[in-house]
Amino acid sequence: MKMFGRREGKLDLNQILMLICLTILIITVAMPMIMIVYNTFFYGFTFDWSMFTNVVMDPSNVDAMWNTIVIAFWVTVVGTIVGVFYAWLIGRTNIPLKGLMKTLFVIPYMFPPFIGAMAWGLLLSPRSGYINKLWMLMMGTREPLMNINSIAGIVFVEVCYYFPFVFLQVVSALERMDPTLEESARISGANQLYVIRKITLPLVVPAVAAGAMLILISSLSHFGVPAMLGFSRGIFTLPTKIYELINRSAGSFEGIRQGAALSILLVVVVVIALWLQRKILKAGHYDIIRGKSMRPMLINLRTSKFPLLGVCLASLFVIVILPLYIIFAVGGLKAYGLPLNLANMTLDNYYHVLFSSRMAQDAIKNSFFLAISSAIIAMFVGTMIAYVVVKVKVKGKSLLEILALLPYSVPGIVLAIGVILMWSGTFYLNLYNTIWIILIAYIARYVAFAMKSSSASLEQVHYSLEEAARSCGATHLESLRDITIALIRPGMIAGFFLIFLPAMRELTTSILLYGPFSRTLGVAIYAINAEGNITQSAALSGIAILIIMLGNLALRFVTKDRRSVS
Amino acid sequence: MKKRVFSLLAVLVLVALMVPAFASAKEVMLYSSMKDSQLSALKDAFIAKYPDIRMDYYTAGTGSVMTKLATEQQAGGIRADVIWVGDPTNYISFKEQGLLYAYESPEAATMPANFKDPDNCYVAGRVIMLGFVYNTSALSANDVPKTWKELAEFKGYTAMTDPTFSGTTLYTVAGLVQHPDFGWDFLQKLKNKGMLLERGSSAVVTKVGSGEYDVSVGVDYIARTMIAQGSPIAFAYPQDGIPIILSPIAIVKNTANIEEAKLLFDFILSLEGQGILMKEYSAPVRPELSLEGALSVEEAAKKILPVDDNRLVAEKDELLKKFDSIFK
Repeated sequence: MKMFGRREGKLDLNQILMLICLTILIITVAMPMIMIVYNTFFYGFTFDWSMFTNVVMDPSNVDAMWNTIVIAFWVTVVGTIVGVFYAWLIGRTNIPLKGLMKTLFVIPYMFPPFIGAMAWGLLLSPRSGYINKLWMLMMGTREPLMNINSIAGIVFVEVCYYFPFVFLQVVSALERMDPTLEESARISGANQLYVIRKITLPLVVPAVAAGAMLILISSLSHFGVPAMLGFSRGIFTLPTKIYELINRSAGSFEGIRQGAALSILLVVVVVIALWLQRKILKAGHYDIIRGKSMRPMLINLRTSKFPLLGVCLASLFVIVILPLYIIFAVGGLKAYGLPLNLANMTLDNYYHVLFSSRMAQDAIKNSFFLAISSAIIAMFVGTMIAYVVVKVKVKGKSLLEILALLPYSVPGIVLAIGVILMWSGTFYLNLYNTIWIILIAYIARYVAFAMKSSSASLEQVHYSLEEAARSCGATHLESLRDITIALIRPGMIAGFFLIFLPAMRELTTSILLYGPFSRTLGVAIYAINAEGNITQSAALSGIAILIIMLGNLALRFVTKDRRSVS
Repeated sequence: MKKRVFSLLAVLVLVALMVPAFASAKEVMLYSSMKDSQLSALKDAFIAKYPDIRMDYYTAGTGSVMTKLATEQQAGGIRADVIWVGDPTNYISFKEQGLLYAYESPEAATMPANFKDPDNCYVAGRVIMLGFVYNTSALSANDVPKTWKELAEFKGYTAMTDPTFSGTTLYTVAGLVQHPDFGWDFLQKLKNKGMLLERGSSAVVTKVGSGEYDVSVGVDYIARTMIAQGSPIAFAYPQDGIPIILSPIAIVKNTANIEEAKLLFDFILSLEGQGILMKEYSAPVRPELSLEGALSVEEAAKKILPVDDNRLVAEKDELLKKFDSIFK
């Protein structure tokens, strides 16, 4: 009888957990999406198809859609090639300085792309970019070397900061790959190129596909780079066009509805892209990757070793060092346009953004608050969802998983519109213009990160551990607290940082949600830059980069800690 | 343990953020399209004078401020007590909607009649003029266009601000479109010569300094600020029509902080407030004051590029659409 009662209790706790998770996800994720669809197709309570067709037929929106697709296509193709190439070079050849390069190649991953775009704008603006100026001076021409304010420029910058998605995936796949397969091909007389083409590449296809998919989604829904570089030449993508529509309509409800309709178009493009990619990559799926790590056979590059090292170092210089240098240097200029020499340097801009600009101070404070609180809340919610999905057998948990992972592929700007529609008084609660609306959007956006991190740890915790505790008389709550949570705590902490870092540099969602005093770091940098205070926005970017780098150090410290614990 | 530290941290952050939010005091809120440095100088002086009033401001381009106001109005309550944006025609719509509080400030007594709304709903808070900003290292003073007509013939890199975002540029475009000598053909000509758009009034001036453009249509006080910082630019008034914008301030009706709003309103118009703005290179509205190196309002008025405000209010959407169809 007692046993039975306890089992009832267990069911209850699980169901309660499930209900809590479902409620949170319905409020933060499902409802905003439903609001977008509703507001696009219904006017009041009558069905109205015209809004959607008007928006979709508008030639400037069609242009934006085309640009979005073209940019995402090239970013994915080039980014994948670049990522695979460097991953192979570092994972599979005897190139020197591997450890250092592996660390350096991850830096662009943490570099906020819109700050990268700003840096490249400073370097390659057609007439005032420092590189172009140097080029024109040396060549005695009025023609720039490269115009960054173009589709090609946007693709270039996005590739620089998105290729690590593929790089990281492929490096780890190569490390886990069974090297005997390659060896046996070599023994059977295949040459180097043949082995790469027929053995190595097919084996890493799943990793490449996963990385490429991340690039594709990120690029399709990316706001910062096209917004920073495309505007002065009238190059719009769907996310920047949505922002534009809402801005232009002066925030009227009609404008938000148009934005919602365009969001649906963007989601459709993302879904089609994902479907196409899946279809293309379905053919040929090999899973001969072992969990055990074995030392793979390294390819001897011989004479091409140092030239290839040179290529690596040069691209690192271009992708990492040059933009970092230009951000910090311009941040120290007295006035933008003066030559970069010591006589024109000052610390005033850094002082101004840190101590006297209300906007910048608010932004730093807000971003910290948002990043810390959304990371903590999303970490707990995500862990709860992960627990239900991994450990509990309840009906409807797949719905839970889909809902939690949905924001992963829903562009941030679309989520923002849904959140506006949901939280600006429709349901008796108006959070618009406050920091809370951004917090809600962040939680929805980042729960998936925490869920992934926690479920990876949870899968390693065997049922038997909890059961052992239960059989020793612990209640379900106790076993959960003392066994499961204790064991996955490192995963949760890693999850915290995985949210904290992107939240700290977030732009796409908060650009539509900020109020007078709830600007985030990203919004402030974007606004100061658009307003034309280039030196100050560079200074604030420099500070943001420092914060993010320190955060990454902390993340590394924590994840190292985790390995030594387990 | 670590978790406990995190939760503690979160609670601390929450508390730190909520304390100022709930502290009730006398306060006043200004929405403005002026530069952050101008507003923070004003704020410092205002707070020094009235230490018991908490003054805050929100600054963005006129377009964004209007967006904010419209959303707040939709959401059921404007949070601003005083509004100060670039484009005067906005105030005609505000007044029509009954959003403005009529207040006859003693500080406005000496100001010319055309600076003030006859019903005292708004009054000019600063004078802005637009002209040509040019890069002094790329152009010698002789090559600089002196008139709008010369600008349209100018062979070099030119830019202006997108009127969607900048009230002052919108006003300038309206002046050009309404003028019989210019009209839409003139704007088409500018576009054909390769004129590009920037997103902010400051951006377009900074980028002239950086050499991105040779000449841009720019705002006087922004150019003066950057010249003072050492930027290699200069400012020239167009001889065939100077856009003059009397950027008004107004008090929002039904605000809870009406007395504080009046104090701020008076302070901005006072000789002290205008003096602070002059230090930030903005031309004053008080006839008692004059800014060195700037054309006086009476002088400029002789060459004004006139704008029919009511016509602009009626045609604003159409104007922006037509502008976009030419430039974007």
